[in-house]
Amino acid sequence: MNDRIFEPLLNAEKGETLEGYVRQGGYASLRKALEMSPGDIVEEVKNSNLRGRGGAGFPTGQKWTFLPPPDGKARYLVANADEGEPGTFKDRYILTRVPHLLLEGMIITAYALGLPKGEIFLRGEYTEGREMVERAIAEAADAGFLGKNILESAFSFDVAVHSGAGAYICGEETALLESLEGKRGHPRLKPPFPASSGLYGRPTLINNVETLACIPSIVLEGGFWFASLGSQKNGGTRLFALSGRVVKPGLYELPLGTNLKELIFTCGGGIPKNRRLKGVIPGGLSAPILTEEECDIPMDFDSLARAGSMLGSGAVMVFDEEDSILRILSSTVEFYSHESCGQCTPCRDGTNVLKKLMERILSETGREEDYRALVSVARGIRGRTICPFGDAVSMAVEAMAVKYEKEILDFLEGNHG
Amino acid sequence: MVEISFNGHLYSVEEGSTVLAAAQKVGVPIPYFCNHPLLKPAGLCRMCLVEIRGFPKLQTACTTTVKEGMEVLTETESVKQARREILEFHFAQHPLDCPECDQAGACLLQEWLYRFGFTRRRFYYQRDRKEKLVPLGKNLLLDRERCILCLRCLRFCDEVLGRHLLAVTERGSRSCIATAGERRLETLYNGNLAQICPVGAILEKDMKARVRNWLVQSRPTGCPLCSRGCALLVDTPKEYPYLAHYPRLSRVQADSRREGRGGFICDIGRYTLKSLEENRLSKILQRGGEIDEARMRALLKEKLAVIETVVLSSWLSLEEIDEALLLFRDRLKLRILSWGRGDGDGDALLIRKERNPNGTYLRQRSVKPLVDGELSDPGNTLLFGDFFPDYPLFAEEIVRSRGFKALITPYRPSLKGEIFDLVVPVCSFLEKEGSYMDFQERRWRSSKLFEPAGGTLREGEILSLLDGEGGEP
Amino acid sequence: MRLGPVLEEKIRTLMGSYERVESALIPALMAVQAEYGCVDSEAAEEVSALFEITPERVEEVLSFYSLLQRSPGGRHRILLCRSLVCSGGAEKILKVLQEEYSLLPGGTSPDGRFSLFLCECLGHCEKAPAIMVDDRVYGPLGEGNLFSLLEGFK
Repeated sequence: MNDRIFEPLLNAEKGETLEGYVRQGGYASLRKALEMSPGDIVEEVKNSNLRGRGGAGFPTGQKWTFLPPPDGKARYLVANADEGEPGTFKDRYILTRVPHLLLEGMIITAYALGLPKGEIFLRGEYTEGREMVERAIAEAADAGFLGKNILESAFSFDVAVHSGAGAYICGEETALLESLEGKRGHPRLKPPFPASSGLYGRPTLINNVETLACIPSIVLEGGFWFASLGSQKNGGTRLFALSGRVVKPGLYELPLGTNLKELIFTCGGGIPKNRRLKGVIPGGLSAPILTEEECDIPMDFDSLARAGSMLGSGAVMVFDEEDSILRILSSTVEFYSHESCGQCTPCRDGTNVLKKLMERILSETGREEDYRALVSVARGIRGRTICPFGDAVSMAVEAMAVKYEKEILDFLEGNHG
Repeated sequence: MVEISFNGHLYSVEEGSTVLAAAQKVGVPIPYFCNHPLLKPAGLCRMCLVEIRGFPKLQTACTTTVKEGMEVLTETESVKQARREILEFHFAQHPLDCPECDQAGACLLQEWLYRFGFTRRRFYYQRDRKEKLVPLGKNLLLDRERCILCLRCLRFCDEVLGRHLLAVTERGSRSCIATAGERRLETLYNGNLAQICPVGAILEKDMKARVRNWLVQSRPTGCPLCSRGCALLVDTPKEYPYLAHYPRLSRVQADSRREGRGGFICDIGRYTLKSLEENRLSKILQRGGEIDEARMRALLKEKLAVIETVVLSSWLSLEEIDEALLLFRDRLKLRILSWGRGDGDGDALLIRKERNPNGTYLRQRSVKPLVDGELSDPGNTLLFGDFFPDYPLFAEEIVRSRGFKALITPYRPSLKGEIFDLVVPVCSFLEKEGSYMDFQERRWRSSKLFEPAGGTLREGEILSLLDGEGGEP
Repeated sequence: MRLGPVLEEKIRTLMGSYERVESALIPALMAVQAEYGCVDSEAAEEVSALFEITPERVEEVLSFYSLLQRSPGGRHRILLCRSLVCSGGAEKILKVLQEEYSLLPGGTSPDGRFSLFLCECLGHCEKAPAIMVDDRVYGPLGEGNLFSLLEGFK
């Protein structure tokens, strides 16, 4: 029993093949799971304190209980591999280096919850990932890990890959379902939730790739073991995608609760040329930025939430004194206005207003009142939209604008100085 | 019924209704755009956000179903601020077209801004430009800058017409309503899209820059163009000197307020009523020339004794039919037949094959239709022919008959040769009040929208004329 | 352009591989694009006929998703990531593309080799700045290796 789940698998020789995966102990968990009762598996996941690794951080065990009991009709498991949150690339590694881990996680999950059909919704840009996953599915089917009567049990499960076509919003659960159903990625009103009305209106469980990839080890080593790796109520390790101004950008598996500074300076090798740390976005673009003073913080869901940010997708983007907050803000506003689906007024028109205000601020005519309007508009989107996209742009932009007010106002003053 | 409270006041509201519908029923103002009684709630525009005790975030009233004991707050600071700011977002995009926009005065964006909005703008910049005069289909124009993407038009096509004829294209604030390529909407329900659009985005081409909404009054009547009898609102210009030469019938719309009457109409009803204004007869005609009323009375009195057949139009009102049957069938024992416009194609939505408003009643009163080939010679015939003048050719029997033939009609007959010995002008459907019976045997009333055009009489006057003359058989 | 029997067969296979036919729509459009480099209105209309849906259903999907193109471009499509981590490097790459290939965002190079589009995060942030050429993502790119990468594309 070691305390790293992904590292050995990601680094294994030919870990992407069935052979290489099995050599690392792959599919042993599935064998064990099929000997357990579905209820016991759910118990283990609850005990593990595993929280959704896609962004929302919702307790996975609890989410699993939202599904109604099987009624003999269609039900679905969907792996969310849309990974569009800027800064995030962890699922890409799982998909390309150890796709069988995802498959095993899906099969166990499907067994535990009575979900006979699975879909992997993969972002269209991950062409390499698609190849690897499709190959793994073929290998797994050949070996009897997929299809009818898996490992001679009564359980059958089939899975297929479906590619997205370039829309960040399709990472949102209900927008993903809309896209899977051949429509525009417009998030649905909730309730009803996918657990009761999901794909084609049927009960559906949607989990992030990394979340599902944690399931085999939870089943094999037990939920409490997984929980013990992390901090209280934040079980396990997770994959941190470190990028930006660090010497060694890349993927790092660390226990939940690891200090952010350790990730940046120990694992990441610190900031090139020893420049000063300016700020860190700790969980994908939607996570409010932390200033240098705020970076001494444990990286888990609860600690970051208490600090007014979020662990989100675990994508850590580091900025140093060379980075202008104006460029960061501008890129952020561009992203959200480009990716807004356009359904509801506050987000559709609000992100456009933010974009226009940023253009103004960056131009010669930018004034302090444009900055004040920017902050107010960002706040005005929150809590009024159909889906959390609106809250995300609101919180991300507000944090950047407010925490670096001085830099922005100095810049605006410099326009007319 | 369930009991809920709005702003601390208790109300009894219908179980299963939405908070928005309940509020509208009891008179609590909540603004909205995308909600419409014909359509499923969408929760898109976010304008109807309200506070509901027990929910941490504001909820859309249009998608929330009432529950016993629900406490709804519509005037808290948080709700007011949400409304103001959402309107502010709209106006960041919406062009300042009010002075030339045909929707002015009947526009929900104007209405909500007036009641719930803000006065000072906090940001100014160049708005995004979009196409402004996009031909959308028959008689429809789309102004994409004005569109607030409430999707009422698209949802109407999907949910009411059952066909996906409109799309939202692009993404985010670049989204537009569009058809595919060069396709245009060619349904028989196009006009409803202009009516259902809450702002001046979808407009009727023929009403562009015609008359301001506050210069017309809308009056209810029913549609006579098929046996369904949809509820209509007819716009007529108010009394203003500079509108003196304006056509008295400005526009026809669906009346959505009347229960059980659908809330939408077909384009036949919407656009062809205007044609009832044309080709009016104003003089009494006798073979080749005109005669005056006195001569007409004399002639009728003379001929009444020898009239053998009376043909009643299925556009006569119930009251007129009753009177005519009493006189001609019961007292004078004449042969009575009915006629009207020929059948057209019906559809699964509104349009009935029978294109007359009172055919059902005539059948109920056992009046047989005048059908070619059934009657060898009607003899001396009195015809009430005041149906819409797309004259089917008159029954061959009528044409060939050598007897005296009189036609009572509002319209100048377009005859091949002069078939009738006497043609008497009467009011059109829009100029008289009356009852009608739809195909489901429900009664509806038409309104007298206009004074009769010069020179015309009411059918009832003719009948009392004849009644007075008729006396004993 | 017309779909042709091979592509039509491919699409029918896709339609059959899903529980509900409509789920095959976006994969079908991607298949058309893989063949022709874009989905023009003629192809879109043929797809709508195959699926027995109105052309508006195809149009709204086609215009929503960034990876789907409606008009033809160069022989190779470059997507340049302009999201946060890549944004600084992207500016430099844009300059090189403009100077060396006369390529502007939304445009095609005069020699017909490349079309350039700006895109959002490609999920290769540890290799920023990243670009996608046709089917593969490459990074980190700079003035040094960008040229040699692109020269490999005819």
